[in-house]
Amino acid sequence: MLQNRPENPDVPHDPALQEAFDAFIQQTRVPLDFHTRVMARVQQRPARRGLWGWLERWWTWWTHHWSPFGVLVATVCVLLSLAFNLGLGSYAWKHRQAVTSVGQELTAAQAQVREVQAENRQWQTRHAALSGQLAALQEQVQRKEQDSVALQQKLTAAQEQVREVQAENRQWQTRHAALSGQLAALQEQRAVLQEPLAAQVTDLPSVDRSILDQADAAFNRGRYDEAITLYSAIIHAEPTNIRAYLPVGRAYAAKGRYDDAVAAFNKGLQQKSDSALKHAIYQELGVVYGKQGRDDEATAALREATKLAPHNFHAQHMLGAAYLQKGLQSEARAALEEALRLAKASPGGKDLVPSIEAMLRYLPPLVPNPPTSPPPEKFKLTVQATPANSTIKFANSQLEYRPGMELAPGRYDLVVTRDGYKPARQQVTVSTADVTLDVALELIKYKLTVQATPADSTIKFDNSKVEYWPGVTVEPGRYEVVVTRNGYKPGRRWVTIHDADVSLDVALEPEKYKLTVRAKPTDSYIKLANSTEEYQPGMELVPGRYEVVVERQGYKVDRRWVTISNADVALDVALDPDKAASKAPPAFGVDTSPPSIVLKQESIPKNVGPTQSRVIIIGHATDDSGVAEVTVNGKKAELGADGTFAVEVLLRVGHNPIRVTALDINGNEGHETFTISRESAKLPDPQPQPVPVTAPTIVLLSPEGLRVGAHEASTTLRGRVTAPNGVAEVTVNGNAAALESDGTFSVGITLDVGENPIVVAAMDTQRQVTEQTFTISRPLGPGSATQRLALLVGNAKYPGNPLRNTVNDASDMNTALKKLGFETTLLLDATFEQMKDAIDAFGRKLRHGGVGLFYYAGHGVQIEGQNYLIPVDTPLQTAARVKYMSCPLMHSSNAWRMRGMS
Amino acid sequence: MADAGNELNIIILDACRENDLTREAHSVQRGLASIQAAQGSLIAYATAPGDVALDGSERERNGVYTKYLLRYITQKGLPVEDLFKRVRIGVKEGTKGKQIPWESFSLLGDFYFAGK
Repeated sequence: MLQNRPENPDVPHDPALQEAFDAFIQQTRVPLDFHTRVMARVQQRPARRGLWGWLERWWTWWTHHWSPFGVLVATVCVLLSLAFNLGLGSYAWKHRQAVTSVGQELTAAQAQVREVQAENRQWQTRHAALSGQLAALQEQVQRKEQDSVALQQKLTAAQEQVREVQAENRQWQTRHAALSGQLAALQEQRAVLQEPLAAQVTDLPSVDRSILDQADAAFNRGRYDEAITLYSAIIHAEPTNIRAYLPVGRAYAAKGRYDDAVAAFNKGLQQKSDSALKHAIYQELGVVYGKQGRDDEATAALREATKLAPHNFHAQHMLGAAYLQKGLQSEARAALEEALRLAKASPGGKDLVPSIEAMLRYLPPLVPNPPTSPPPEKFKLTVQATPANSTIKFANSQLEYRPGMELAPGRYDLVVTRDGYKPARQQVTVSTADVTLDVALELIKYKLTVQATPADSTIKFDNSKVEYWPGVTVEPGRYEVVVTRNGYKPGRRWVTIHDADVSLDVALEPEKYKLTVRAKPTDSYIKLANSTEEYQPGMELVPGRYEVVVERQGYKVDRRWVTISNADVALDVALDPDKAASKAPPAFGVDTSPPSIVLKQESIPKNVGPTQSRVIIIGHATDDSGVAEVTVNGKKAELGADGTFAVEVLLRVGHNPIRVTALDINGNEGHETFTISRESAKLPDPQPQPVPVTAPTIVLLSPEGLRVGAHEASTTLRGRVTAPNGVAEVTVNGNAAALESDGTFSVGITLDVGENPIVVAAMDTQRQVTEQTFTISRPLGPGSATQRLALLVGNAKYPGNPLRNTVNDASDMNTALKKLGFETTLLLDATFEQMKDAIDAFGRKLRHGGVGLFYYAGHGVQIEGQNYLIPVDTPLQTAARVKYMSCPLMHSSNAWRMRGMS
Repeated sequence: MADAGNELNIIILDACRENDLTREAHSVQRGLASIQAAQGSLIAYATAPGDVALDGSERERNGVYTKYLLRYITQKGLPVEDLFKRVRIGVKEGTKGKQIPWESFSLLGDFYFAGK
């Protein structure tokens, strides 16, 4: 192709050729004119300098070297590139806008993050404060425990002392009784010995003391004749002087002049005298009669002697001997046994014991009512009992008591009884005269125990002088018990005690105070977060701290603590509008959809009659990530494993707003609100509505998720039946389940692999039956795809007791197990809370099957056969503490698991 | 864990190290108590019941028991029962017989940590 070279100084100019060339150009090139013109102009003027000159030169070069087609192509290229750049620019602009909007979102998100952080800090502060409180409380509890231990020890010591003192006291009493017996015997002896002497000294005003002394001296030296002379002189001079009769009788007896002795003794007995002297005379008389062989007189005299001094064993002994002489064996036995008893009790009687025992041995065995013995003389017995209508019986014989009944001499055991009195046992000896006995019964006292709640209340009797103390015994009657304690309403109870111990339970009601919350806006929803009671204006509450929560759509929730101590409380709460509430929640791939609530409409009446004060709200809550909690008006509902919930709501007269709230595990909240109206009772009701009856509702509580492990061929099914009329019976697959009073039931069921239909039927007391079918699934056994899960705990930083390798051990095991396909959780220097949570979570994960591995490196101890793994925050000081603040490793025959605080 | 219903549970307790508590309190016994493994589970103790495990020497990174456990756990073709037997032999030799690990198992199937 020819090139356009209009000017080439090296080529000689050929006009013809130029012409032909121009013609060709004319045909083929359009812009030649322009070029020619330009070129002409260029040629006309000198070459320019600068940019314009450069452009000219470039244009000249270009037009010479490029064809018009090339120019066209280049121009098109330029235009295309321009268009392309423009496109790119607009694209970039759009992007820029997109980036800006993303940036805005990011800013918003950051703002929210900051808010959340701020909130988080608040919570942390609160957490720290609460932890502080908790620690303080724990410390208090510990101190109290120590105090209580100290007190217990003191109490034990005091009880020990009391026991010792009691034992000592008993010893003393025994000794006292023995000594009193001895003393009585001794006193009697002394009386016997002293009285004649005293009489000798005092009753002889007129007789010369020296004659008496001479007589005594003669008697003592055995010069009986001289003594008889002297004593007879005294008697002759003064017959009323009884002092001489006894010795003169003795002297006669010593001389063998028994008749004279008997005469002297009988004369002496005729005189006025005291019982001791008479006793001595009778005794001597008995002896003398015995010697004369006059056994009847002897026994009569000796019986008189024993009657006058019943504790004198000599008299009894001699009486026994006399009876024996007479052949009256049973009388002899009674007298000798009495003599033996007295002799044994008396210090001076010991020497006589063998001889009495020998006489007793000589007696033949006791024969009741020996036919040979003549019927003895009988005497009247009268018992005067107080109270008069008491029952009187003989304990040792078949006899029936009648007042004034006649009894043979002997010893009788009488028992006097009457309802409400302590029985009295009295021994009476009928010997030679009628006997009248006074018996006064004591009232039986009964134990009255008042069990007061709280235990440290003050207990008093209001109408009695008796002071109350635990275990006090009181006579039958009516008592008014008053129980008082600070902060409680006083409790008064009448208690009647008849014939048994009474235990009385008195639970004091705490003094209640009114709480009123005045909220702005007035239609805010008010609840008590830490109480099961529903808030109502002016509600009465026991003293304590209550968390009042006031909330309303579009306002910030206000939570505050109010302390009720000893007065009514009114609280003003003005809510702040919540600007943040309008902002959309962030979407970060978390489940933000709230749980959906489906209410069982038939359980929710729009209107109820005046008599219905409660209704059971039943429904079903579902959520992708799981429903955590359902509350109705702030009251936590019973939540079944399949999301069914039921809760009882109290109804006031008028409109009752009901708010059902379901929370999922991510904290999303779904609500349903509606109103139930309860009619006023004051309105006359033309058609009295029957009490609405609601059929029982069944909620299953376990197995969790209605699912069991592959190995569980059987499990315990637990659930709860709610029925306003009361649950009568629950059956599971036709078998009766164990039913608790609160409606919970449990029954063992067997499960096949796969889906197991479970039919639960509940019947209430009105015979209304609800039947519901649940499905419990049991996965296939081993061999199915196996997951490998591991939880590793390495504890080293124990305060004061650190370990060297355990953190390395757990970390290295973690690495090794990960390589072996385990999904691992590694916990280093774990606290009690962390260990407990991790172990719980691990257990839950393993429900889906697979291989589970738990590895622990750290301190562990064994307390009472139980293994405890010790978290780093547990002080290694006392066994008790370790027990409560570490993780015990439980084991039973078929399962082991980690357990929390026990 | 075993009541979780999965097929195999392995519990390894390298937990019976000497501490102040075991030296002071009366009710606290040395070491851990032996507990019987439930069906489908294995409980491995670093030491015999009532004995204490030894921390490794200062130069060593791991405790004696875990050292041998790490050595054998990755070995192929070793059933879990044999693995713990080897660990026991290793620990016994490594401590000159002072520490003898102990297991209780009631396994229903075979298990290999590192495959057959």
